Amino acid sequence: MLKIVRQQMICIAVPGWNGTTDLSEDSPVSKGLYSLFRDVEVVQFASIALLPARADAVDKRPWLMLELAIEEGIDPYDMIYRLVYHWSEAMWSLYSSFWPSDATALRSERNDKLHKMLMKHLSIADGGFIGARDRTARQIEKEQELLEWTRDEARAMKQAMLYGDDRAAFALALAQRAFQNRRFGWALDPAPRSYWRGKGASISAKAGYVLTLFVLWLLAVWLVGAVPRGALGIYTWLFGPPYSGVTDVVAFISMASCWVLGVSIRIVLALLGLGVLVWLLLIALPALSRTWRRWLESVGRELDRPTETWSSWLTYRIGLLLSVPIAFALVALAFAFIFSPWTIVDAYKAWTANLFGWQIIALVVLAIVVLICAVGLLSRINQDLAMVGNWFFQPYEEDVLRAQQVDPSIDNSEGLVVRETAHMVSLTDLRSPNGWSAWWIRVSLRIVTLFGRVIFTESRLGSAPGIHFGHWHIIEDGRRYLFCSNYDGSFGGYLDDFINGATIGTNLAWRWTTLKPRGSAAIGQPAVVHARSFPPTRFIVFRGVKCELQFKSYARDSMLPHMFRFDARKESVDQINLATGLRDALFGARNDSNDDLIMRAIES
Amino acid sequence: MKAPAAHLAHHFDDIQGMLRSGYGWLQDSRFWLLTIRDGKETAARAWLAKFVESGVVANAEEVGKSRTHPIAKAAAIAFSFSGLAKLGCVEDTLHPFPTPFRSGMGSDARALLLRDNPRAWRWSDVDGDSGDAVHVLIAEWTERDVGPIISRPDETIFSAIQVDNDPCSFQKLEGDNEEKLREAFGFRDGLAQPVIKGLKQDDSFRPRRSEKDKKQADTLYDDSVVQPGEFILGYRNEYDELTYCPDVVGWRQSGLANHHGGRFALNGSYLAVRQIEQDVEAFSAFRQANGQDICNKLMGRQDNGWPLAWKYDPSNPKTDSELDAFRYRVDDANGFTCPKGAHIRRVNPRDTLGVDIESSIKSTKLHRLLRRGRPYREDSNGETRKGIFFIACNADLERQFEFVQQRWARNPSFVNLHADDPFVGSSDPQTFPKALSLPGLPSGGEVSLANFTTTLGGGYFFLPGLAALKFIVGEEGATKFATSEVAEAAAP
Amino acid sequence: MKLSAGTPDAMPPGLRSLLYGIFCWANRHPGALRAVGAVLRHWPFVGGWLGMAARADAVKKVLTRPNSFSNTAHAANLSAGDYLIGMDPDATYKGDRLLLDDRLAVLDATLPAAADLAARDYVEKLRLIGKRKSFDLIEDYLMWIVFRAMHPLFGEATNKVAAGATGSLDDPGLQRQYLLEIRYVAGQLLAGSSATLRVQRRAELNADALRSRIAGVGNDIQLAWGTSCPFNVIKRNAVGLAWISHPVTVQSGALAVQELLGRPDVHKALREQAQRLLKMGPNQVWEDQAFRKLVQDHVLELLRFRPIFPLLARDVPRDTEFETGARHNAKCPAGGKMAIWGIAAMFDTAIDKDISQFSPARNWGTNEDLRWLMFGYGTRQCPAMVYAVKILTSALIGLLILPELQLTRGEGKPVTYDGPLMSRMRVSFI
Repeated sequence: MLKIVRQQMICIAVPGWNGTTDLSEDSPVSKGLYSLFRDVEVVQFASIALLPARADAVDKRPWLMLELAIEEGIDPYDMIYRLVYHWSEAMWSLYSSFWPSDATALRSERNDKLHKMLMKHLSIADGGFIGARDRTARQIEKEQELLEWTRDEARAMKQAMLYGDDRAAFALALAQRAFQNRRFGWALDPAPRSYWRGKGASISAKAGYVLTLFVLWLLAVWLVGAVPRGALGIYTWLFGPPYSGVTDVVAFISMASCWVLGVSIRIVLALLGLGVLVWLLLIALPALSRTWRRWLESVGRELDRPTETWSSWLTYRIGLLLSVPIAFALVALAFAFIFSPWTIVDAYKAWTANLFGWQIIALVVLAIVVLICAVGLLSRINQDLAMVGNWFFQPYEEDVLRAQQVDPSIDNSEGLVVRETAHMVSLTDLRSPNGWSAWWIRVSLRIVTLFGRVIFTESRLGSAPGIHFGHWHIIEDGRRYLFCSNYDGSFGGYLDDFINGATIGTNLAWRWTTLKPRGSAAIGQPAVVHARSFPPTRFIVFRGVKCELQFKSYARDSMLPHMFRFDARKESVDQINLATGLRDALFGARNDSNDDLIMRAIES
Repeated sequence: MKAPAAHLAHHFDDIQGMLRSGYGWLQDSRFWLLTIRDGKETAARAWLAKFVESGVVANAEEVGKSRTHPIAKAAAIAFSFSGLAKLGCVEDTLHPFPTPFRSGMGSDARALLLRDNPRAWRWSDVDGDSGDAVHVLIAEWTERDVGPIISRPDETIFSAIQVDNDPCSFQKLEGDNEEKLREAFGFRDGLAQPVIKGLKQDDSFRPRRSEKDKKQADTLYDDSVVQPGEFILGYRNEYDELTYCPDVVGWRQSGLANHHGGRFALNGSYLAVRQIEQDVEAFSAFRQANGQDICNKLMGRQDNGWPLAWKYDPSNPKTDSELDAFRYRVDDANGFTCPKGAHIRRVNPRDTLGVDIESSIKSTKLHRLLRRGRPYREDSNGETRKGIFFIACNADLERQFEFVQQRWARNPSFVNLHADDPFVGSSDPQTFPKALSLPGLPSGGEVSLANFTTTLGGGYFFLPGLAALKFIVGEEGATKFATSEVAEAAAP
Repeated sequence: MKLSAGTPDAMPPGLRSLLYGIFCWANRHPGALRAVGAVLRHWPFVGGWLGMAARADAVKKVLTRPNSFSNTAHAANLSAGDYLIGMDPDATYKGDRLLLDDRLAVLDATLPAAADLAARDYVEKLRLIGKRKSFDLIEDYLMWIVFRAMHPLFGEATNKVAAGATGSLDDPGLQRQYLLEIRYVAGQLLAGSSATLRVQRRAELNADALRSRIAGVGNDIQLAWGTSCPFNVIKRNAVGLAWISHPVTVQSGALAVQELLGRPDVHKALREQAQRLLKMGPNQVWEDQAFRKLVQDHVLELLRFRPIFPLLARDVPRDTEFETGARHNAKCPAGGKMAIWGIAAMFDTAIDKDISQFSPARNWGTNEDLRWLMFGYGTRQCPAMVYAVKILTSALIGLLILPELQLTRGEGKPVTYDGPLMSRMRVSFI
């Protein structure tokens, strides 16, 4: 399920680029690539950038990176096949400098060789997010035509003053005209959406899906035990007992199946229990108790605080002291419950053997009172600390060197696309190559991808809007980390959205990376002269990106300019969504909400 | 070793006064754009030093007493990056100036990023088509008819552009209890300013209040309260972080720093300045054709400053702060009252852009500007041209001024619209039709607009703290260079 | 109307792979389909409930009512755009059909000689391979024979079509690439709309490539066809002709050989005949008409056991009924679909009591038409079926005069599938 997203975003990074091919805007290679991507129709974005070699690499030549964002369901192999074997040979002209003497070879041989090489260096995204570009470029184009037509039509109708004050009549008239226009025959079908954005968009469908899978799993496990047991029973009834070996095997299978059933059910129960606990502490209690809410907020604020203060330092230390043992205890309890539930029952029995009922009740009440007092005390302390004086919250400066610096080439590539979808390429290093870092990043990215695919289907990642494609790749055998993104807005604004709207995801995706010094890939391209590190996180997901200065400097320094860029459509995420909504409203049932949607689409 | 941050309250005397007040009671203003002639750096420094020593550059502390002891005149000095370089300041390699400031508003890269095509500027902060770079910006405010502080800068040292204020910009209309600032199209100006926390009000100690005491107006007031670091360098900003302070070579050795370990830019701010000419005739014609109500929709406020949704009641005057107490999200999500593309909704979308009110307000506060501009008038060849000399103070040019300009004001697809700002939108006729959608009219309305404004020039300036100002204009000119050489020599 | 390309997957994750897996498995195991078919034949009302025709009579009747059971069911799977096979019998259909029949008629003159020639060439090439060395029956034999035998379809333009507008004509790699391209497009017709996204997208990509290829050599095709049809008509038919003719014939050939290798007795008997003729002279085996007839009967019988389209689908545009063979007719609500179990009909004991036996020499009598059911039936039957069988007959004769074949052992699975399609068949000489 994740691969379908991951393989939509491809990077092909080929080492050993000797830089002889002209990639300027008007060069034949660029023009050829541009018309290639136009002709192929399924490429939404493409860009080329040069990745500077690592400082410790033997070959100091840069890597040529081709980034592609393509439509859903296409296997990268097929995509590259289509591109390489295209009659225009645009891909060969881009890569021909890797085989300087091969210009005379048979075209099919060259294509095969190129296809093989690109497949070798292909990297599908380790994680990615797709905003509104789940639609095909062709769909976006057609819906945009419909939107523009509707606006023009509405303008003309307004000038003719045909429908006076009646918004519903106006919307109906527009819908009729659209319906009668043969150009829009395609819009009669509702806008196609993938399962999680269409039929499976509701929470109940999502829960139902998980539940169905779980029930199917239970059923399968049960069948594994039940079928041999039943068969054995029937056999015994018909012909008498078989060999004891057979009976033993069946008994073992049956027992194993029962055990797996029990463990599965208890795992779900344990997860549910933990879920309820989290819900209670983070959602229910804050809603009920203002004290608890404020206390929780200030803990969160202190953990996220980018500057060092006594308040934040203390909160983190105390948090570590308290939460680590509690977390361990909870996990241990959960494991005990899952694998050997009787130990808990036995322990409880042994403990309560010498106590009367009223004593147990008294103990529970006492525990609750202690808990309430503790929370009250903490909250009191929390409020009073504000009064204690400024020293407690007095920030100490995190001296971020060379902050707010942007390489001219980056400024320039940002400026060139200011009227279009913005684009960034960031290249960083993994903190420990081949080790934990890569593993953790992969796990984190899969989580981000899953959430993006299933939960954040309204073109926002967390609450960060405007992302068309964002994808992360671990390249060079787990040594380096590549992030490419296409988004609406300016780079700074984009990072602000990440900092505020998708803190956890961004921390998860970046916290295992660092930025090591490296040379520049070509003249006029940025180099990393001074190493930087990702701002430190707390409990994995706190702080980190919240250190705006450090995070933005880190991201800025890691950026590389694009040398070529193709974008199938220039509409923003909001516009794309608006046009799809308009299509469904114009050709859907005539009701107030659709009428209003039509009117608002032409009014905006 | 980490240094503790400066306390804002301890540095009022180092912060230039214009950050604390717009000098509403000083109704005359004048802006000087000075270019230091080649070879006249020392003389320029001396001239500036003299000006500074005369004590007219007000600090925030003096301004703070203005309720009881209003000052009669005030000035502010700011420097473009080329100006700082001209006066001998060399940026520190560890703490250089931010890229936008260094490259200057007049640079080609910024022209792209600010969507300023085409540009036909009279002046800018970099050398180029619009002439030599402006190095120094001096703003002065005086009481009416007192006359200017600077009669004329020395022609041999500076080439100067003088921008005079429009004497008619302060007017008292029916229902006003005092004269209020109006820009050339007749709208109240200077409303909806951010309130700098800790500078405008004394909130180092806040009495604990019960829930009941908190009124709705209070919450809305909090919408405009912004952390000082958003405007003054070196303090906590909306990210709860200390705003980055660049440094210059020799500052540390000069011993001028008020705060231990404080860098050169502490207590400073960046000014984004634009001279915007307003086509009053075109707007009057528009008003004639469409009526004042539509003009109000363009602006997003009534010309008397009241929000569009409120019914104007002269008998119940409201303070500027009260006039700012409104939001859009609940009452006017679709722009039926105040169109989504209206000027004030574009440049301060308040609670509309995020997933909920809280996050929207929070993110809008990352992009606030403290406006200190004044209407100007220019009489030449018997022709009167009016406009606004726009000054926005901010601490992060990229996140504040440039963001507002690029993503909000001049973004044709801002919140799904398809035109840019009715007033400060791009003057390039090819980019988009000049039009404004007026949702909510019976079947949706649209008015086509003329090009009401033209930008004549612009630049980024650094408004230093007073200690830093002393350093810039100080006699240490030669020493500064010497120290920089020493520093370079000492560097490995 | 063709569904828009690139439509995302509206099925919950997992379900599509499951359905497609079952579909592919069934296609690769015609025995299982025959078993289900037998059940449906025996209790035709079950098929009636499910909208399935299984008895020979029922299938024939359904297929002769094109107005009630429309071919448009195929349209969704024609990734290269409209073509005869997915059209209602309207004016466009008729025009296209005339054009196409004209083109196919060219083959009357050239077949089987051209196919024989090609087969003989490749037989000589394969002979050199020697024993126990494997080769791919599809890529090294069938694909090329069919390609050469069908050369007249595009006449002078054939090489240009295969090489693309800018490719060099003597680049065999480009020709191979073209043949793969059309295979994937045709694959979608087999795989149907239950296919995984990857299969559908691949078909779409290759369909785009094919369309662009045909557009690039449109003038050459027009010249070769010598017709004055509008350009878009030529394009539509050239694209359709390209993707359906070759891949389906090759696939049928592979299925026939697969079935033959699974019947050693039949294989042996046929080989003995061929060897006997071979001894009489090098050309005898190609010229003996009785032998050719025998081989052709074998091809048809083998395809009966492994038809390339065991099931067919039809759209039901308006409410109707069909005769299942049960007492009551089954209702077909408008907007529904109809599944036609061709594979069950061809094994209907109503035709012959011993119909389940492999018997190429069977006298089908009045049911001769049912013998060709794997190519469809009635007005919408494949217009090129006779030529396809002729080509396959030549190819099979070629294989019979080579040393005896077997599926390769020890190299992993000799037969690999690409969905329901056979993509590779490694064989070697014993």
